[in-house]
Amino acid sequence: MNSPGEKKRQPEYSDFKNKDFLIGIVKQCQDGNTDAMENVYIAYKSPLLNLTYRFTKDFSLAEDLLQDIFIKIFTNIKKLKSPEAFNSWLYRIAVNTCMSFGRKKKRTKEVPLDEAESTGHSGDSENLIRRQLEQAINTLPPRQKIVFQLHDVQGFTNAEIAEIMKSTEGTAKSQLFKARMKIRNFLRSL
Amino acid sequence: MKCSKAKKFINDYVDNRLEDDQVLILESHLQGCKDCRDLLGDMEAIVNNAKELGNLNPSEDLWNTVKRQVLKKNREGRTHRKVFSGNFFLFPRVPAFALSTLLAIMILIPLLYYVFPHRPNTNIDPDRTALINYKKAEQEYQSAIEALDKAIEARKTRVNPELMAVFKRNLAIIDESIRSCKESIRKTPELLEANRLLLICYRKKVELLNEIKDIAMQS
Repeated sequence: MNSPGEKKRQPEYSDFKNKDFLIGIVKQCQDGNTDAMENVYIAYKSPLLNLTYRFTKDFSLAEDLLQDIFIKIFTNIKKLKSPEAFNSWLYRIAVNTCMSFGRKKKRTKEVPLDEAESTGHSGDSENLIRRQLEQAINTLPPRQKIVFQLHDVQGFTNAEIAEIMKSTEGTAKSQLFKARMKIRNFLRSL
Repeated sequence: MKCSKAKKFINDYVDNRLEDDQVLILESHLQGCKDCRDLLGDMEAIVNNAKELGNLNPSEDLWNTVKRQVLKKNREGRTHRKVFSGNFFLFPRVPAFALSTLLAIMILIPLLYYVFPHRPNTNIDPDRTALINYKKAEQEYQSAIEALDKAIEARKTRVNPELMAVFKRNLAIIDESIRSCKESIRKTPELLEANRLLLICYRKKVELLNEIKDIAMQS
């Protein structure tokens, strides 16, 4: 029990790898518990924002997309029959939302790379290599972008990515290889 | 080993996914192939730098916006589901249903009079047990309505005024049905159908008041 005045520990992203914890918190969300929803939000906000930013290259748009994703998650969580599949279900929603945004953006106006970079949320501490890497990732096709983001930036396995993308492990591995090769070629061309 | 095969091995090598014997084969190839050594160096640099990319965080107030939207959508979803699941007395489209219920009651009661005309001291044999039970149920419904009225009164300012106006219109229709049933029962207390219809009206009223109370509590 927490002593008076002691702040209750917020669950972290890593806690959601624990099956029992995950099932418990998902069931609380399904019962409409907003504290449990907030804990999910706190744990996933950063990885999901990094994913949405990869598609928008605009911090404000990335936040809008993040908001849409969480609203979809919490208004549909009652439909999730297997709480243990929450992680891949959540990321599937996120990926589909990003892909849908990508399609809409393509239909309207493609943001030039330079413009996108200049409006990006890049901090001063970011070194040149990372900025160039960001640019290189931005040139990837949507699916390769997602696979690279999930695998190399967020540490998902190919099996987990296959589950999220509803594809096979082999396809995920192949997409990752293509993504890395394209990034390498882009960086070499600079 | 050909370079095309070595490239795929390198992709697995940077993720530590190669078997020991495959590592030996690759390392042997790398010793004699500068292109593949360069590729390995680039791949490792990409993978290592990528790990440092994910550090964005949303604005502080975003959670409050998400929470508000989720609660709003869940509320809308719940009332929407109920409208389509047979709970008539909700939202603007519903007065039509409520009105048809009222009309049905108003037609049914004269019809009952026609089928079972009221004849004092005739051979109507009322089921007294049923009537007693109806009376008890009526009292229970009245108590529930009283309690719900109090609960809503304390929180009514939290409900959207437009929504409250719709609820009030529906309540008025139900109250009119109740009044009509009571009038019939006053004339013919032993008329079981009128008593049964009265209880249906009470039940609808309790359901509607419960809806209002739930919305008031969540707002």
